[in-house]
Amino acid sequence: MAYVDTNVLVAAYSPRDPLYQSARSFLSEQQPRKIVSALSFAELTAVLARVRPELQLPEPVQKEPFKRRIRAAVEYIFKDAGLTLASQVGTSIIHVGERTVPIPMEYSRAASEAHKLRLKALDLLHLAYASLISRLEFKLDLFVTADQDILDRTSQIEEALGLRTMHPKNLP
Amino acid sequence: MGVVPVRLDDEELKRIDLLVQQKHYKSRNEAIRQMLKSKLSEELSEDEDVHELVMALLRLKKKGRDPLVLRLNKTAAETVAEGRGRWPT
Repeated sequence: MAYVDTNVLVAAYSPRDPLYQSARSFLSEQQPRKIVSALSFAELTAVLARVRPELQLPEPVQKEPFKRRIRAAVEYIFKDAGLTLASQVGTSIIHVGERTVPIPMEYSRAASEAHKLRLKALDLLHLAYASLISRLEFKLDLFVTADQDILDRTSQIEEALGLRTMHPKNLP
Repeated sequence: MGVVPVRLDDEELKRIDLLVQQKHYKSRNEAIRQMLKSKLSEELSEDEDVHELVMALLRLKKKGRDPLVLRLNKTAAETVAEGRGRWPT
């Protein structure tokens, strides 16, 4: 099974993108099963909302209010690409100052690996999600991404999280 | 504030007691209230029901059309990286 980064999803619906064909072909295969997280859901929604004039939808959907249009586009991508949305992983309890606070487990995992991976927060959170999903819900073999910052840390990520990262063009 | 008597099994109680011992919560009462509060907040989703719209898009796809196309001015990797607070290196 493979965790699919948002850039691969966006590329698969952008015919002018250099990764269009490889992203499309990866997503059209039945195997490996494609897993995404709640973060992917939020990030894809944010991307589609940001690129509003560049998103083309057919007439009946185009007439809908913007919020519904974007929500429908996200769900369409999830269904069309055969994505499985992993469940919420759980919470961790942390002590900060005088308070004991339950936080999403992905956040504590991301924080605990930050010093090794030294990535931006959202990159780190995607990896933390994938690592926890792999441990608790779906055993993942791959983290498929076009993000160069992540790909540059392939060996550190494998060592810290046990995840093999791969560019969609290099998939077997 | 109301009182609701709840039956918990031994294993659940043991886990709650462990969290209290580890000082994650001050008491069983606080632990259960915090967990309940967290669970109840999950139900307050503002999600939209777009099932009909999605089905319409999928029907178009079945007819051989691409109902969703992005005409981005940048690559997908750049567009997503931009939202993550940086340009790709």
